[in-house]
Amino acid sequence: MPLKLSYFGDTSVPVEVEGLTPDWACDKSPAEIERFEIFEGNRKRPLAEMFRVSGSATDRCFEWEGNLAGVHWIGAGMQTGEMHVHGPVGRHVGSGLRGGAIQIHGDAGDWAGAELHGGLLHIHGSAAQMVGAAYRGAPKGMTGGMILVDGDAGDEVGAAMRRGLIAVGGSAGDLVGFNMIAGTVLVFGDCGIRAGANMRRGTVGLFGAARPTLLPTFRFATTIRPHVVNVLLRTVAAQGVKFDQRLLEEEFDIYHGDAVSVGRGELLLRQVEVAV
Amino acid sequence: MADPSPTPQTLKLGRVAVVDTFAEAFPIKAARLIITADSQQWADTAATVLCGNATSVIACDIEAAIERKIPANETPDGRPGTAVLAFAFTVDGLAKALQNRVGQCVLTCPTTACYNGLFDCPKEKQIRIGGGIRYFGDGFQRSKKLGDRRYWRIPVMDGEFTCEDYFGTVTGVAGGNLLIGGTSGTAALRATEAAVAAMRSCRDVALPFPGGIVRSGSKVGSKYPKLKASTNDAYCPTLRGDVATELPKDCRAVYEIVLDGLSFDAVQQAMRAGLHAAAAQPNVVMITAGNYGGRLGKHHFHLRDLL
Amino acid sequence: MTQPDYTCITGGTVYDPANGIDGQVRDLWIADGRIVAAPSDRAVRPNREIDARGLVVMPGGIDMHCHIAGPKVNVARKMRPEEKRKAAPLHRTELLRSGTMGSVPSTFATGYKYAGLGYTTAFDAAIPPLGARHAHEEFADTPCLDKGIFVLVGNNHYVMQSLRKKEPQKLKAFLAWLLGATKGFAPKLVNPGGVEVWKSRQNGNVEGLDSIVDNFGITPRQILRGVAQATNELGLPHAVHIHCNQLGMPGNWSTTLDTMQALEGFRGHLTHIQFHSYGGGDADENTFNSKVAKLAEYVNAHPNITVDVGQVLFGETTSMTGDGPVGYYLSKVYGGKWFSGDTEMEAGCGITPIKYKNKSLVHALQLAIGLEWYLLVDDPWRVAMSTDHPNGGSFLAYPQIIRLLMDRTYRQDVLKACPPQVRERSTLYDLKREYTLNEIAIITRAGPARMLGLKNKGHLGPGADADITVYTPHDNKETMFELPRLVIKAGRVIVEQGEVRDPVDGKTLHVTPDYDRAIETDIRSWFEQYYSIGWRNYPVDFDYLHAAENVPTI
Repeated sequence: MPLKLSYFGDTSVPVEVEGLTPDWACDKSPAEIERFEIFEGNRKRPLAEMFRVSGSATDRCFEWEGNLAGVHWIGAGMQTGEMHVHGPVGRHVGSGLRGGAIQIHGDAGDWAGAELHGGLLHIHGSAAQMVGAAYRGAPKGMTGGMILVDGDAGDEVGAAMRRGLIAVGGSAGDLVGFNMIAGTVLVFGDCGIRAGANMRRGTVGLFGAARPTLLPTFRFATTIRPHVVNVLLRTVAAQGVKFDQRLLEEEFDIYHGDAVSVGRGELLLRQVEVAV
Repeated sequence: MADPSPTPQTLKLGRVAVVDTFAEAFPIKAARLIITADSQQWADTAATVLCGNATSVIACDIEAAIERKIPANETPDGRPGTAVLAFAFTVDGLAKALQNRVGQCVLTCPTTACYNGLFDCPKEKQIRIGGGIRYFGDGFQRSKKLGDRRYWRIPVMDGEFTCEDYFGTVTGVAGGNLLIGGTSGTAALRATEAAVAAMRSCRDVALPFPGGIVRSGSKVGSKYPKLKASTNDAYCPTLRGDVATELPKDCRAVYEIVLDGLSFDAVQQAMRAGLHAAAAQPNVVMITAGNYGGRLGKHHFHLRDLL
Repeated sequence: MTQPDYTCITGGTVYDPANGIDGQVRDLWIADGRIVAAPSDRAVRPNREIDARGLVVMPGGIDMHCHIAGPKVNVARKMRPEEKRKAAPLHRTELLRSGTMGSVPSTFATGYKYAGLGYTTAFDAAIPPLGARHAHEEFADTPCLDKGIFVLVGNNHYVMQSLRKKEPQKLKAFLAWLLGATKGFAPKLVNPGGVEVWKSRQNGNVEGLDSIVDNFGITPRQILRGVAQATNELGLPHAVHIHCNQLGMPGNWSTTLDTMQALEGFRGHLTHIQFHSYGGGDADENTFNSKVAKLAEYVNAHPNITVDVGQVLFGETTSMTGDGPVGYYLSKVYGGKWFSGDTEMEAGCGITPIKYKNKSLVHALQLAIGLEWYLLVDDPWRVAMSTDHPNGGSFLAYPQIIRLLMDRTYRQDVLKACPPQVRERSTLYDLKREYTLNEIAIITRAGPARMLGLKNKGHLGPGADADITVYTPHDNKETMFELPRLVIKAGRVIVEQGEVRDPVDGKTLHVTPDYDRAIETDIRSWFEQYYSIGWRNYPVDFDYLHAAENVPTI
């Protein structure tokens, strides 16, 4: 039986619920959970003043519901357990996630899965800017785990990523894989400019119908189908992300770069303009 | 009057006499490799060559054989595949042999890739294969890590050789066996081939000898001090008059099947399937198994349990 | 006549090395913010009595070399958002301002945290004169501490010009004028001449004391001698404070020895000497080793020289130094983000994050070399504790250093986690010496006060500022020193068992030596020719200082 959290708050300032995770809650009584302090703007309030709490946290499963677009840091730092969110969520969902799984049945705000270390974050709607990115000033970002976005994402997907896998079923914005150290970002829709800027190593798949313009510091290598791409695509498909099935058989144009950095990264582009 | 030379009891399976004895087998370290390629034919080629000269750890670095073909949609990269089981007495021995063989026989083979096929193995028992071979890439190799699994991508002339970094191992069983005697060489061979086919349809086992069959069954020791094993004279038809023979009067040829597997149960199940398949063939006069009196190997497969 | 408002700390075990008191049970009388003699009339009762029975009483701690205010410290704060995001914030209360931590705490946090450790005086070691105003403004927001600044002069154009023109009188007058204008406490040399070369050409630096400095045609040796001599003639309370050339480079120990010898008997303080004690050569880290034994031998034989250690401890921190090329070098080695500053006419700086790892042979050797310094200098009055905060580590690690010095077993445990080659390349494993509490009181209080020439600090005799720390004794000296029972500043209890109760503002200690006013005309004409600001806007006036004490020249 899950812990149900139904949002009834009505406020114009951000609500922050950092720290409310299955790891924390699993041995707390319902009364203690209701007293968990959340922020409304700069004021602390007990959880029960903005959420109806029911069920039990012993199974380490949370079900959130409501319009949570103004509720931030859901699932941040979570280590084990499951979260299902029925509705849009705010910023920093799953930030610093270490394990377990978070499913968002709706859209997510900026910084979804920022600095993820493990586990799974699956956004069934669209995400905003900085998916799986490093926070400003950090030398490295995501270090493991998997982020899946069924819809679109904004700019700087996977910025300063060190390891792990991000897949975006829809389109992405500019600077996909910006400052990437290593890891994999796959974008099945179109993307913006400057993908892979300053990447050291790692793989960025740009599988949209419209072939993106690449930075001049990326050099064409060959047209081929690396076997590991099959492994990546099958992993993503197994989680229910939809993409053009022709990708499972095609060869890709491989570009190596970014030459201004270490240059051991690769961009994978579809071979021809593909009709949508 | 008491029988001067007490023989083991015989059991009956249909019309076939099955000696009430046991096969004596040993613990052994095992790994599974999943070799994929653009076609089943190339996956099989790489697997076959990798399993070359790997019949017995008496004189080979491992025992290895194809376990089964794997349909494309079940392999890690969605291409046709072949599963190989490999066995050695130590984990280090297994690692070294497999690094060599994958490097010489799979890396070299067109369109192949090589993935781990044994999971839930603790880190300290895993063996490094891709990680040992990656240097062939001369610094141009790349790694791709997904979850706990790391794949090495080694640039080669047709693209990349993808080989998983670490492979799992398990303690399995080596030396399950059956000896099948027939009224003629042809009859014995047909029956043994049927048994082999039945065993090969089982999972988690592999038959390392040629075609799965040993024609030169051996015993421990020899009149020559340096020889560890020698022909099993008690089962050699041309020596019937000269030695204490195990051959029934109408038995003119014997073939042995040796099998290794990932677990006692897997070997036992395969032996059962083989036993029944052989016993259903014509002109089979004896089915027995080999052991060392039960003093050397910890696993005993009693034939009476397979009936 | 009204009786003074006496406070008495009774029955404490007092460590006052400057007055020869080594663990004696004594009372301490305080009035008007100073320590006073016990009243001759025994009938006089104090208005406040603090029961210190069973507790250890020492003068307040003095950090004579740290980086806590001014332009480069503030840039470093801005450069470390990822640290600040993860560190526990200091929340605002009725009494206390908010703050952030990480390796470069914000201003209020700096004051509260130093006070929390029982420190009551700290000196920022490297302020470019143009940044003095900024440093004093930050000091105004750094409570609980008396403080001062060392002013960068080692790459100053007027200084180098005077040396080139062989005009020592002008040099002397300039230093005096500059200290007055900046409300500084002492002149500071950072890689003298080297930073000017760095500012002049790509990858520029000086190799040793006799390299020629671009644009001025003089040598670091001349800068060193000139400023040391001027410091002496001006009678400044603190010796010239020297960050030697070639910081951090393998083989730099010979430059350090040259520097000591070049003083030729003048007082000199060599700072964070750990970073300057390396053997090896050709920038080859494989030969990196400790040369402390040789250098300590020289220091032991030459009482004109004092040092502070600059201890490295494992962990993540931020390096910030007026030595511009060092910041660049470190950022190239570690790949970290990098800031480089060029202060017109005066100085440079380099800032980059750094992580000292116990698995790194070089870092483990640095840690060992720092500890060797404490253990090999015979006279504790001439070696001060420092981490060159935050370069070697945070000041918050001082209690850990105390434990390392007092507990040889703990030292060995820390060394066990280091690469085994440390054993061959440093002598630390063989050093059995353990510091006594008295010696700790010297290297953290009495010694720095003496080195700085502060007659009213670092001791508990009558006339001293009533800056006192009371500790609860504990076998684990790190535990003992990280949470004082009480901290008293100018006679007021400011911290009690880790809680800041009364965040008083301290005073700025500065010097205003006399100089030949006639030379000001020359200084002014040079200034107006080259500086981008106006002459009258340059000096810092007293409005910027909350309270000030002019420390007299000798």
